[in-house]
Amino acid sequence: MEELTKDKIKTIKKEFKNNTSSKFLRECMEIIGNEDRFLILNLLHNKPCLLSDIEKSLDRNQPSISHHVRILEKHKFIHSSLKGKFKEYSISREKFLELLNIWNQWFHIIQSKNY
Amino acid sequence: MAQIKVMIVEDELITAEAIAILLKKLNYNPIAIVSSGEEAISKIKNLNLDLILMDIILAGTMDGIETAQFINTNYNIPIIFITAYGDKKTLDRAKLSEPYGYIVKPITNEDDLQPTIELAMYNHQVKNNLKKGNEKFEQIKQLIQPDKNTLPSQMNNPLEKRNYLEQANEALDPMLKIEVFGEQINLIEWLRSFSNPDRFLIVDIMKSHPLRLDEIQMFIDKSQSTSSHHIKKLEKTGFIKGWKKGKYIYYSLNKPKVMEFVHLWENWIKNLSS
Repeated sequence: MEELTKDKIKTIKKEFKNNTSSKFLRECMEIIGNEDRFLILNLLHNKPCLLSDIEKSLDRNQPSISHHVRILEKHKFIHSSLKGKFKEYSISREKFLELLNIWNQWFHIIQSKNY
Repeated sequence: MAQIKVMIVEDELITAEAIAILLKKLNYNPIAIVSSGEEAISKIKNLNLDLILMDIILAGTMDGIETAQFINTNYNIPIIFITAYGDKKTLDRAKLSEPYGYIVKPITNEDDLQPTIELAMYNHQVKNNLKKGNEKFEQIKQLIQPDKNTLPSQMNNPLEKRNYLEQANEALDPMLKIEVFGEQINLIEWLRSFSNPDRFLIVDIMKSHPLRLDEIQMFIDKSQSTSSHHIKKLEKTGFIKGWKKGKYIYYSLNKPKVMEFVHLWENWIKNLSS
């Protein structure tokens, strides 16, 4: 096993912090790792929903749901379209395809190693 | 395991005794020999039987098939027919009482008995487990949603689904839990342990290097207590494991567990991307 010197740690740290896929995955995990957001994504996967539908389904108050929906939309996990006066939210499949791609690379590194 | 208690219902005493001897050789316990259906039914209550070997022609007014039908309705004991009749008509009638097997006489050695008995005991066990599982499932269904018959996969409301899964998870035994209901709950829990960017970074780096606590601390620029909190969390979910080398404890990925997560997570993303 190779010894990690302080310099080496610095280099690795830089490498990982700046690595785009690593960054992307960290961000995705942070966002999806929240239970409410995870549930919202599952809900929208079944069918597009208005904000009020999400509130009802998750039994949470409006500010909290709006907050989560805003985060999801900002990071392009979901998108909205106008339905009458209201916004209807649905899953952005492209984002999940991207995630799937990057995740696969990440996971192949684990698969190829013996610990 | 306790010896399997067997009752032999047979009108010819010599045949019955011969079967009893063979059963003993096979380490079964032939606890009773009776010659009529009526006698069998009267004794059955007190014997706590595991298996009945039943001749079709019996001494009393009931024949073996009628006796078997009565026993099936009132008790949960597997029955195997032993008979000299191999004709289709008898077989068809015997089938109606759902026997666990059918042995044609003469029975001369252990091999004539053993496979059928073992298979019968196994099938009975399977049937009982299935029944128990179904009962439990019905119970849970009643408990959680007395007015509906929706399966978790048909639920559109994620909160409802989660509550259902959680309650079902508590009520079910661990075996079923993993196979039937475990998936989504585990995924949320596991995702939560990755939801902290520092923790994901730790795992990310551990892909290529085993790390010590002090090294982890340097990587994430956090205090020792924060670092060990992250380690504890990851250890608890089983994603990493610690091992001693010299005076240090090193942590590395626990591949089987990580692969388990990868599998669930990947399926989930795939699902959402299609």
